Formats: sequence, structure tokens, C-alpha cells
Amino acid sequence: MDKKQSGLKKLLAVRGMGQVITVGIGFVILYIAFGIMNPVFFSGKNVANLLRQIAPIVLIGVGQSYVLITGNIDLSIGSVVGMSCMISATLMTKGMNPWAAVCVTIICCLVVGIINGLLVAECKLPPFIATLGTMTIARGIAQIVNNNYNTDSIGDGAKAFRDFFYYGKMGPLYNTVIIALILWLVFNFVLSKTRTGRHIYAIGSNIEAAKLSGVNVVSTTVKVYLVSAFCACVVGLITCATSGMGTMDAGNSYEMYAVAASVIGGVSTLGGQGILLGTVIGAAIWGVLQNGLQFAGAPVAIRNIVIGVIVVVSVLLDVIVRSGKFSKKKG
Amino acid sequence: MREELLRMEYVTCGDDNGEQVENLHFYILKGEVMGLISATSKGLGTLIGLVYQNTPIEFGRVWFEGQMVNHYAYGDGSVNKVYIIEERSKLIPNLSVEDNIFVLRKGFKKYVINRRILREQVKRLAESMQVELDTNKRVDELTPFERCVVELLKARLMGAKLVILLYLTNFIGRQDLARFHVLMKHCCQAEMTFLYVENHHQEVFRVADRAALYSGHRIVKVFEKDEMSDDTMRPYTISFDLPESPRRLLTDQVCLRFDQVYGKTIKGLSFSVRQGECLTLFDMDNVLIDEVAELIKGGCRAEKGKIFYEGRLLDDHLGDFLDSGIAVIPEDPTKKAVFKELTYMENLTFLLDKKLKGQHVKRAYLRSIREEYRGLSGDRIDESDMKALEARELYNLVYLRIHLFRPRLAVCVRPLAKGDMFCRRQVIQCIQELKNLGISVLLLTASISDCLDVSERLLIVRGGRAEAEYDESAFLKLSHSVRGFKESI
Repeated sequence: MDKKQSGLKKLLAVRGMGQVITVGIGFVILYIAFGIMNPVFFSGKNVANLLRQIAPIVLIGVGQSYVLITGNIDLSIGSVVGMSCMISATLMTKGMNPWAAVCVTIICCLVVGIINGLLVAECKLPPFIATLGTMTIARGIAQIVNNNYNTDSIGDGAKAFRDFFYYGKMGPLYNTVIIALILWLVFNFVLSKTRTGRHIYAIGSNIEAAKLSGVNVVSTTVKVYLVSAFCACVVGLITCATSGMGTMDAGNSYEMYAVAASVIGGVSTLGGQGILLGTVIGAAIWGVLQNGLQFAGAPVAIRNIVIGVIVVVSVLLDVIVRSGKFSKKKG
Repeated sequence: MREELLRMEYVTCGDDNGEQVENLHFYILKGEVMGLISATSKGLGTLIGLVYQNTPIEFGRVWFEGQMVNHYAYGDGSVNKVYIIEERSKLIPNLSVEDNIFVLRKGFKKYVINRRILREQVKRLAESMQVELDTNKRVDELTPFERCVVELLKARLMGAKLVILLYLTNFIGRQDLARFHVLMKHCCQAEMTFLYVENHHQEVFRVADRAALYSGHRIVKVFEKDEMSDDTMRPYTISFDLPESPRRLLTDQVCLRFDQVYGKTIKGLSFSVRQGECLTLFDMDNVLIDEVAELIKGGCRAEKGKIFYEGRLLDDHLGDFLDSGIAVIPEDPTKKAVFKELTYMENLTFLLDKKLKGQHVKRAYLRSIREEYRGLSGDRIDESDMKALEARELYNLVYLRIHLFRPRLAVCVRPLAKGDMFCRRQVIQCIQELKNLGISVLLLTASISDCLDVSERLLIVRGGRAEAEYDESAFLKLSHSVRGFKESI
């Protein structure tokens, strides 16, 4: 009994785990409720599709979580998704090797990440304004790259590319899910086990103390925006592989989905708090709600309203808890 | 016979976070300076809040200007005629003095602002209080002293009967403070009343007509003017005597040297800190402390003069001050140096990777540190919620982090400015422990109280340059007791 108690204590002692467990319980309840309403919801095929639907949201959620933990925000994620999709598709339709196109696309997206980081940390622009600007610029690039047209089909030459990012399977899991899983594992390791991860939490928690403790705020902030841009880039590539062409409005509103996944999963918009496991559960809740409400026959508008309400309530709870209104005397 | 302005009778109220007041009983007379010494800080915010606003209380009664404004069965949340002057300004920084005083107030009805008339009115008001004010300045260009004067004028114009002055010594220099005390006395003649709140009893005794000692959620003693001495205070304070530490022989090797340094507020400052020495730099004007700390951190450069660290020019090799073996503990470190979202151990070991030059911190190291520092921090070392820690424990944590990092120079910015008596005792002990490790310590302070207990040398700075210097034996010669010496300064 004592051992069990200490195990639970250890689990709860992990930073942000309490919130994640709460959200996790919410997710299980939602999942069971939708399953009872429509048993097809539990079918293996639906679960596989659900996972594939959730994977891009997990990825952009991971990027946004990194940025939110430093106390900033990245509004350019959706546009970078669109930019990535259009650049890669345009290059492939022009006959470039798909993998070379992927490399060029990644470099372009990382440049956006560096610009975001420098604008926020070096030029001290408010992150909301800075990334609002780069959001518009990235969307403009997505439009201009193929002269204001969606691209043609990327063709059979890109079959390997499409299999790698979307259609391929490894066991029961689609490649999209595996890519998301691997990237999540890497970024989770960086955030929870490395010095950079500790610096990210420190900046969001107390930037002044971080500076006094020798943390390079500019470099760390640039790193988190790079992670965000990289994740958005991969999602853009997945979108391109999914549709087999480049669409200019790819990734529209994805920045909001990313914020929703992070915030529902317990990442604080005030910085310094949250873990990536929470982001996965946040994205899962988003996916289950979309999928479940679709099964229940709810129109898109209702789905958006429900998700919007959940995001607002999550942020409200975070602000209330952090302001100490519910805190009790300790010790 | 003087009239009472405020009376609190057996007031009990507060929340569960230890911020309650219990059985609080005291009064303030019209036209007096009432001192309030906070031996402990818990509940003091509630007390100040109750003087300012009539929020519901659990027990007792409150009178203001002869009217019962609050009692256990009735508290309407109304605001008393009270103005609070504190470190955080209540003026709008981008507006002029006259805008702040006249335009931004309830009674101002005019739609078109006539600047000439307003200036004339400010001038007249200032003259009535015998102060000089440059009305051409914007509020953000005012010195802290001028800002307090403007706030005092505003308070008077707003009809405030009681002005609460919170920890003035933290942001006004010694000379300006004396001028402000004169101004307060002048205002008292015009029936204005002051509640002067400070951590140090010497600061309160200097100006107050009567002084109340707040400790353990209540007023434990009220000192009349003839009772204001260290002897009468002694039973209510804790001992600041430190356990005997091994006597260290200081070498002549210099750790840090300022040589005729000029900056925005520094005007030819020269001093040196020897290795293993603790030097207190006492800034009488309270203006250059932040700039000195920034210069040492490499946050700005000196306009003229040279700074040497371990024999080399500081500008040449100071990339990251921590890598060079310098640690800076900011003012109010419980807010500025603690990561509230990290655990105690994560906070404690935050500088460890700097010490290990970026190597991976092995679990075995962490285990060993946990055991070694358990002796200094107790079981709090296992705490994961920083909000559960008392202020004293947070101070301890910040200094233990430096203790673990073992820099060659520790710079403490206004180390005793914030925190109650117990926190100050903790800080003194922590500084002593840093000294015992052979770390050179530079204390940058605008308030001399208690710093001398750990210092080996005192440097008095006025007008941006060193004015006098005393070593330990000199300040003992000047006075039989160290505390007496503080009084004489």
C-alpha cells in the first residue's frame, strides 16, 4: 500500500502531471460517451483514422506548447503549414526530387522560425504582433509561390513522398502517426530532460531570474520558434502528401487548433507550465470532439462552438488556479 | 488634547494563507507621525488594507475621524480618506506633474485644460507646503524623492487625512529621506497624519512621534517618544549574533576593483574588494546601486574609468558573468530569483550545469546534493511547490543556490531591503556562510541596518563617489557598539 502511495506521489510530483491526469480522465469520459452513442466509434478503422487525424494537431500543438511555455505565442503556425505545403508541392510539380524539395521547404520554414525568435527576443516586439506579421507574410509567400494558384497534382514521381508522410503503414499505425510519435518523443526528451528544456521553463517562469542565472534568452527563444516552425513545416508536408497537391489555404486556423491542443492539455498561456503529454491529450480531446460530434450529426458550427468553449474554460481555469484563488494553506 | 483619526479595536480578520490579523488594537492621533515596525510581515498587508478600505472583518471595530466605519457585522467596502505612497508609483508616467495632480482627480470638471493656470496652482500648492517643484518635468523624469513629494501634494489635494508611507528607505536616498522627514513634520502642522511603515526600528524611531511594533499578526507594543531606544526594543527582536565562524586571514589579492569609474549615476567611483572579503557599499543617495550591479554583470559599460576583476579588465573577458565566477543576487530575490514553477531541487541546482561546464548532471550528483543540502534546507528540499515555502525559506534557497555554485564573487543588491526580521536574520546567516567558503561578497545597499554584522569594511558613497571608508576596527572605535555606529551615520 505504501509503495503504491509513493508511486502515485512520485507520478504527481512530475511537473504538470496533476493537470494532465485530470484532462486524461476527461478524455476517457468523452471517448466512452461518444462510443456509447455510436459503437462504430470504437471500431479499429475509426481509431486508426482518428489517430491519423490527431497526429498533425499533436505536431503543431508540440510547437505551440514550446512557445507558450516560454510565455510567448506563435500565430504564424497555420501560415507556415500553408507555406510548407505550397513550396514543397510547387517544387515537386516543377520536377525537383521530392526529398530535395522537402529539404528546401524545411530551410524556408526554419527561416520564418528564426525571424520570429529574433523579432520577439532581440527586437523585443510583442509576440502577438511579431507573429501576426510573419503569419501574413508566410501566407503571402504561400500564395505567391505558384502565382496565386493551387498547384497541379504532384504526380506519381512523388509516390514515395506521399507514402512516407501519409499513406504508408507500419503495423497497424499509419506513417503520419509514427512521424508524430517520433517527433513527440524527441521534443519531449528535449523539454523534460535537457538543459535547454530547463531554460525554456525558466524563461516562462521568471525571465529576470533566468537572465541572472546565465540563461541566453535570445538563443533559447529562437530555438523554441524554430521547433514551432519545424513542426508546422512537417504538418505542411503531411498536408501536401494527403491531398497530393499544394493548396494555398492549407493550414488555415491551425494556429488556433495548436493553442487549443496546448491549453486544453494544461500548458499555461502565462508561461512556465505544462508538459507535452498534456498536449497529446489536448489534441486527442480535440480530435475526439471533432470525430464524435461528426458521428452524432452535429454541424461544423456546433463543433467549433464546443471546442471554443472548452478552450476558454481551460484558459479561465488556468488563470484562476495561477492567481491562487483556489489555493489552500499548506503545511 | 489631540483628536483621534483612526482607532482599531480588537480587529480580527484575514484568509487562511497566514495573512490574518488577530486582536489588533491601536489608534492614530491627528497630526502625528505614527510609526509601524514590522517585525514579521505576515498579515501586514491585511492591516494596511483595512486602514485603507473597510472590507468585512470577523471581529472588532474600526473608527475613522470619529465615525465607526467598519465592524464585525457591517463592512461596506468603502474607502477611507487614505493615500498610500510606496515604491510603485500611482502617477501616470507620461503625463506632466500638473496633469497628475489636478486633471486626474474626481473633482476636475473643466473640458479645456489651461496649462498656465494649472502650473500656477501647482506652484501655489507647492509653496504652501514649502517645497520646490519643477513643473516642466514629466512624471517619469522625476527623482524618487520628487515623485513622493508630488504624490504627497496629490494626497493633500484629494483630501487624504492619513498618508501611509511604505518602506521609503527602499527607494529614497538617505539625504532625500531627511528632507522628506522635514516635509512630513511641516504637513503634520497642517493636520495631516502619517503612518510610517518600515522593517527597521531605527528608521521608524528617527521620525515617528509614537511607534507600534507589529509581530505575529498583532500589535505587541506601542512605543512612546521617550521609549524609543534599542534597549526598549531588545526584548522584541531576535538576536542577530552569528555563531562563531573560523577567523579568516584576508590576503592582499584584489578580487574586484573600480578605478575612477564614471557612468550615468557614478561620478568617479573607486573601490576594491579583496579576495574573501565582505565589503558594504552604502549609497547615501540610493541612485547608483543598480548601475554598479549592471556594470559588474556586463549589462552596460562604464563611460570612463576601468573595472578590474581578478587583475584583468572586466570588459575584456566577461562574456557571461557566471562563467567568470560572479553571481548576482538581485533585490527581492524571492520574486526575481526563484522559479515558482520548478521544484526546490530544480531551483537549487539551476546553476549546476554552469558549474559543470555544460556536462550532463548525473542522478548520483543530484542524490548527493540532496543529502548534503538537506542539512541546510531541511525537508523543504523535497518540496515541489514553491508557493508552499515561507519568504525566509525562499531567501535561504536563493543563497543556497549560490552556495552550491561557489562563485568567486557574490554581489548582493539591497540584500536586506525586503523581508521581515526573520528573513533578515536568514540573509545575514547565508552571507556569513558564503564568506566561510572564501567567497568575496559585495553588499550594495542604501540602508545600513544589519549589513555591518557581516561586513569587514564599509564604503560610504555620496554624489556618485566614495566619500569615506571604515574597516571593522574603525567602526568599532567610532562607537562602542555597532548599532550605535549605525545610529550615528
